[in-house]
Amino acid sequence: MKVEIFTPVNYYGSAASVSDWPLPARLFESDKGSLSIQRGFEQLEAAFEAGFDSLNLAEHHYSPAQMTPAPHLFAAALGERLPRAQIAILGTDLPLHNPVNIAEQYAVLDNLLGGRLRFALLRGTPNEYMTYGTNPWESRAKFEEAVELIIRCFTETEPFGWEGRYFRFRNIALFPSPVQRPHPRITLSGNSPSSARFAGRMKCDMGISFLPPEAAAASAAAYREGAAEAGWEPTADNILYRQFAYVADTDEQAAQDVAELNWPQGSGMFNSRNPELMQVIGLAGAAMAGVPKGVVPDMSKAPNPFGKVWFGGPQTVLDQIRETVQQLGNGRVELIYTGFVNAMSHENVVRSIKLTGEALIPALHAGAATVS
Amino acid sequence: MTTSTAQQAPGAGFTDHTVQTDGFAVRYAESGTGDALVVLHGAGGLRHSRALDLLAQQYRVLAIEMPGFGEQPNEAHDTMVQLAQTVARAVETIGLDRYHLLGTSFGGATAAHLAVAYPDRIISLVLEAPAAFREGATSPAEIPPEEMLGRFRVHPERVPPFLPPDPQFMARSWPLVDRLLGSRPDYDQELADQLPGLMVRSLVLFGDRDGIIPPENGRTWRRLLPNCCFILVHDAAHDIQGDRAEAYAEVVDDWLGRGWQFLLPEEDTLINP
Repeated sequence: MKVEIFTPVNYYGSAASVSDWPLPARLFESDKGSLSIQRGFEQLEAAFEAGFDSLNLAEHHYSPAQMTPAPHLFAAALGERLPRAQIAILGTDLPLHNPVNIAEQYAVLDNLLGGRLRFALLRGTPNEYMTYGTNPWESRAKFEEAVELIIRCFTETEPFGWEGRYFRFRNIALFPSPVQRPHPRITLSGNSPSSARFAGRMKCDMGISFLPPEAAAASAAAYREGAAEAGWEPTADNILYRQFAYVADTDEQAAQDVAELNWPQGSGMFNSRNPELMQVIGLAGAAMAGVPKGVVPDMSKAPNPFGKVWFGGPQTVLDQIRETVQQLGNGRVELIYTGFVNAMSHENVVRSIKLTGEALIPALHAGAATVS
Repeated sequence: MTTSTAQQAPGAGFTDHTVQTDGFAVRYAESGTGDALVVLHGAGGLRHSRALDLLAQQYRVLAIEMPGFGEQPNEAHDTMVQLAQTVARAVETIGLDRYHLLGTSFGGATAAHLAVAYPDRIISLVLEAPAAFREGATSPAEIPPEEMLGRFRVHPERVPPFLPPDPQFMARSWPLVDRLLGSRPDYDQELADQLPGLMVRSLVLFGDRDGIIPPENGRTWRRLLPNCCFILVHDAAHDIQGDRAEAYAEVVDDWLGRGWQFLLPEEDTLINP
């Protein structure tokens, strides 16, 4: 079992308590911004020291929940600070970008990191379609073509063109190529069975975020089916499960800490104070899920996207993780300590990371049922 | 929306009407069918534009000549609120219960007051370089004639040509503008206090090269209005309709028709199946 950490690089300033997407730039305090970046590094450095197998970042926009709209920049700086750390970006909001440029960015980043990179190509959260103005109704078809194009960018050895359904590039020649040939390991989402099947067909890793174990298990099955269609068999190491986690000395202490700041919700993420805008965010989410243009989605039928978060003393959290692994067959867990935003103090996050390293990671690495 | 109106003189498709309200013969020009879009002009008076012609392809556009900006003087109003109330009554007399409301500069300030007073009547609001907050602004009355054109237009070559205010018109109407708006502070605190309670969907447009009201005033609206989108129109000065007619009409049409959904493009980008 590999244990990874995802640090969203929360903003630690008064604006973190404002639940309003997009958050006005006037609320940004430069000194608090610098402090937040520093704390992001501190959390990841603590995780490296604690023995985490990968330090992970992701792309999100216009929010104090994540100060990494361009995570490859943060990853490059992190790689300089921690020259032996494995680093992953899980992941890029692919529909927002030119896929050839994304391939170029990751090729350069893998060179900067000396081959220590993994990355995910994702479709983003619903609000993200309003970041640069992206059509959510064609999200899936366009995303899938973009994934195939990016893989081609890494695997074609001569300049080539792409006459796609959604993309037309008559002249592509990735230079530099990644250090890892033909490319770093790529993770695709498994948050729905159809996404999971696509990940399997693409011979990529699969990452599942937050889903209840039963839904995650269905995705894992679809992933394996997709892989079988493509003629390969994934191992547990190809499947990653992401969940919020908080470890304290005792169950009681953990319960008290998470209650204090409403962890992991905190002040929320990607919520707007404007109900009309929230409706449109919901519409974008429905469009991503395949609801056709012009159809008003029935949100009451939307499946619950969140499984139980993991918190407690070390043994309790270990038991929770092992229970999920038994249902899912995943070989990687990715833990998020901060919650969304304003949900846990930096000090508690670092303390929890260290405690995970002392008590949980040796057990998870060894497949043991009791903590160290 | 097509651009066929390029062949016609701006306003050619509009017909003039008059409605009696509060002792005024309120003139208005109307064109098009569809949802009603009431348009309030700037301090220069009712002017036609290609942008309004384009909007009239989708909407029933009613451009109101506000009392005091035509032949009939207006000594009755001392506040924007009073003027806005008369305009609202004129629109009501025309027979409109609910409508989109668009105001330009002085008309933008009037439209904001109207929306505050009658929010239930407004489907959505568009404020083009609204003059209620004018921090750092220059009054047109203080601008030398040779500078006037550049303050209003980046593209004087585009139709309709920018016409400086007629001195006789100015002599008639400017005392009213000065009384209702010029006498007010650059930051209208009274209005500012009311805007956070106005839930009407509002689009605020400023040209990024506005030479009359600095476009930074758009931030004030975005900050105060809880349901507001602020958009800078590139390569346009105070007269956005004149500088960027097609862009103006497209963003306004998209906002009126789709509201916040206009953040989500609907156009397919499929090249070939």
